[in-house]
Amino acid sequence: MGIFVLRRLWQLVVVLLGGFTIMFVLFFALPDDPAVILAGGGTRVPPPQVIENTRVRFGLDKPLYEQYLTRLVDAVTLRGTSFKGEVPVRDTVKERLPASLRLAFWAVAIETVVGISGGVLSARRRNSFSDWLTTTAAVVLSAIPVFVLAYLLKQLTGVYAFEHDSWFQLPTSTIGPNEWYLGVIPSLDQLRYLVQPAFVLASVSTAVIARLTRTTMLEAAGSDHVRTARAKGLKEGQVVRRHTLRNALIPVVTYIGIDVGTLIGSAILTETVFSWPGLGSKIASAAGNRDLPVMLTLSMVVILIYGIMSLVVDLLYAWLDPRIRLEDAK
Amino acid sequence: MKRTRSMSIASLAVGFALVATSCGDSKTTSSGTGGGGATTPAEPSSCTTLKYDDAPTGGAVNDFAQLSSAGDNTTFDPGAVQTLDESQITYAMFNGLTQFDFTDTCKPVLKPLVAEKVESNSDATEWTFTIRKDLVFADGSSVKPSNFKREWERAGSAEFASPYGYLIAYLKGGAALQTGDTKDLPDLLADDTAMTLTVPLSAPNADFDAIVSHSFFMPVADADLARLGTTPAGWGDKGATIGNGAFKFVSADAPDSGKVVIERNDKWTGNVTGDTKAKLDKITFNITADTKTSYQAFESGEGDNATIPSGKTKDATSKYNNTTKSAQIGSYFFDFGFADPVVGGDKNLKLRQAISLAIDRDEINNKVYDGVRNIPTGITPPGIPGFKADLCKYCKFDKTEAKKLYDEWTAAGGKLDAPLKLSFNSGGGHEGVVQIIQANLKANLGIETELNSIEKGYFREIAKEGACQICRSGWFADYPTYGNFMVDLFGKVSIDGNNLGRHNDPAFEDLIAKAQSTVDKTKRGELYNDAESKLLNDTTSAIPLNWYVGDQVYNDSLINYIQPPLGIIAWEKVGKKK
Repeated sequence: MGIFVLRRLWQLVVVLLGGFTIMFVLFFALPDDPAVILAGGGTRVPPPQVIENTRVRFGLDKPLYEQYLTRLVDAVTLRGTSFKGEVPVRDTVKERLPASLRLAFWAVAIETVVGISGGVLSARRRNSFSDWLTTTAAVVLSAIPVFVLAYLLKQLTGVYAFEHDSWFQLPTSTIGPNEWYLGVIPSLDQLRYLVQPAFVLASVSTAVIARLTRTTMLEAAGSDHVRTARAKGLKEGQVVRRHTLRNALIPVVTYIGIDVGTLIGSAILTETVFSWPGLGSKIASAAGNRDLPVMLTLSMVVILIYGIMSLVVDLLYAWLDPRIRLEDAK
Repeated sequence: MKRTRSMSIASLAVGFALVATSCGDSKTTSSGTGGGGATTPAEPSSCTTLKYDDAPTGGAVNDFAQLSSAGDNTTFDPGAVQTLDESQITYAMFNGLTQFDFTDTCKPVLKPLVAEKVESNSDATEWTFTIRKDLVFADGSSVKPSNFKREWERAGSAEFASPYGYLIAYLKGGAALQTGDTKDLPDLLADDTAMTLTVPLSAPNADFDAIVSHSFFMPVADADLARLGTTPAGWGDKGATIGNGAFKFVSADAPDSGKVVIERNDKWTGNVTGDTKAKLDKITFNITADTKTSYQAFESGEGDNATIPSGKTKDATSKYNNTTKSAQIGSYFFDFGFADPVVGGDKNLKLRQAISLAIDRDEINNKVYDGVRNIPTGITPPGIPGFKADLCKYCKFDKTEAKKLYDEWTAAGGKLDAPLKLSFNSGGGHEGVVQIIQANLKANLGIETELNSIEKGYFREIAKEGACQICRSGWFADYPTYGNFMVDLFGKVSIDGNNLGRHNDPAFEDLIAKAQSTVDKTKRGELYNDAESKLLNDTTSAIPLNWYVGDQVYNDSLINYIQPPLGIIAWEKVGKKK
């Protein structure tokens, strides 16, 4: 097991370096001159001297290999400074990473609890009204684009609620007071800012997990060992919990593991619509603004998270499926 | 059956969602059939007298209008601030040597502010500003001539790399400061005893007293100068924050999230319109990712104001009585390639005039801008000193006259062998405009055009030689001077810069050079009028399409929330109802 973990960590280092290199190359391969954009070239033509001064200011006049090494060291040590606002990248990571982790945590909690419950219910009551309801809800949630759902929710809980003085009014944007207990538990006021973005972020994944759980549960329910468990006289609840669900969860765990990385690093639409200061929206805006230090460092943070989550998922497999542990032991 | 029903319900839900999000985002195209005959150019309805009511002292504004494009935020340091949004904070915290009084929006008056006296020599090559003795920064330190000199040397330095650093080239020695060949401006004389600032220029410029009203030339306190040096400015306290304006800096979160807070500066002594104290206790500028988010926050009662998102103007105007519809000193137009073999030159003058007359500006305004923009009568909008209405003979929709001129052009041998190229930057909301132009030219003149959408680096690409045939341009004045339009957009000095059509007319150059060295304001205005008339009538080198207007909405609790022509809210006048 130890060697397995070490091997995976080494692979992660290679992936990090590869990701960094690709992002670096892409930055300079894009058609615009970044110095022009940074000098205000989005709405006018900056004078040549202004462009040159900007190029020197941001170190874009140095040879590419030198920039590569400098940016790599800065990214690893979090020493870089944003091109926009001269903000240390470390401060950006300190602000954005916890915000993304907290939002992703609650989105995963929602999608896990609601998605798996819905899938189990749907599978156990196949072709019933509750099965139909769950299936329909899953289809609707996965069909509606995230930003549409967000907009509609905000219209309902923000604009409509305000105009009708309703009790269910919720804030429409920003992270709010940023008050948390034990890192992830929001204060009551914080909860009002969290509930919508978490729900929206979890929406599509909840639908996918519900459908996936239903399918895998139905598959597992038809297998021999489950039939044997029933034949032995075990209660249905015990059959589901100990024999059906555990096997059915393996692909679900895989999906959730991959999804965590996506929720942390790619929740661009949700973060933008709710002005939630997360990693995804920051990387997207950094790319658009040619903010190289931020783009590189935050991307590496996201890759790191993906890699760690992938490792955790693999370790969870071993716990869920003893056969994998036995194989490793051999 | 169940599957069909569930799919139907799902489809309805999706359809509803799509309809809901499409509300207000319509950008229709035109069939090209305009009205018959000529339309008289409208009097500039944008000329008004700004009236401010008495407002109580106290209260706070929770602003969602200014910082609603988080990705653009960089700094509100006066030496480096770029965007109008960030400038709202800068101008609330800092005052310059002069300031425009926009009480009459079409006849702004430049008045001394931090300077008590402004003089130039006879040919406008040297200016002397006498600084008021009673002024202090928010930290209590005096405002001295040396604060200006040191700040200009800082902001104009190569190391500081300000986007507006090129303005220092107006000063003698400024160009060398910009390239890094020097570290200071030895000819700029700051006498803290006599309280005078003597500014020799690199070339005659009779507008220099107006140019120094720009934030780039505002003073910075000794403490900030010592703390920051020539380190490039950043957000919040990574730039200068100790100002001499009506408000003082309190705090700033990250540039793309959180808020910026400023409070009344009780050390401020007043502005050019007689105010001596800001009404509000505090202003909180909330940072949101985009204008739709901030508008929704306003609609939900979380904020006092918001920028109206594109396509929502009708909705905002009908739902809320309070929108800042005032005229702004911004102009939207298309350039002709001056030396383009197909449309440029004297032999194609009638073609250009015909094209300009064949475009229905009202249709563009109604369909693309919800009818809110002002129909122009020239390039330079009202609010610029020297502005004259009805300069442009070809800025009206007259398809009969257009056809006549086009026929005259073809009779003289003119022929279009290929579609004309209409160039524009994609993603800026210009698609609706060019589609209407395309339809107008086809319907009214039979001219085929192709739409050339440029996604990346539009301004740099289109400024290259041969790139612009008919190309989209637009300009919001950095400072309210005629030269900011005529020179920066059509002067030879601006070729390869913002003179996208590469306009290069010796007669025009002669007029603007005379204007720049004419100290008498009336005569200067007349010279610029002649230059603009030449540009639009004698050579028809551009097609003005509209003038910008204010784009914000605010709730009933705000008093005196007005966007003057320069777009900067007079925050010291804004009050909150009790």
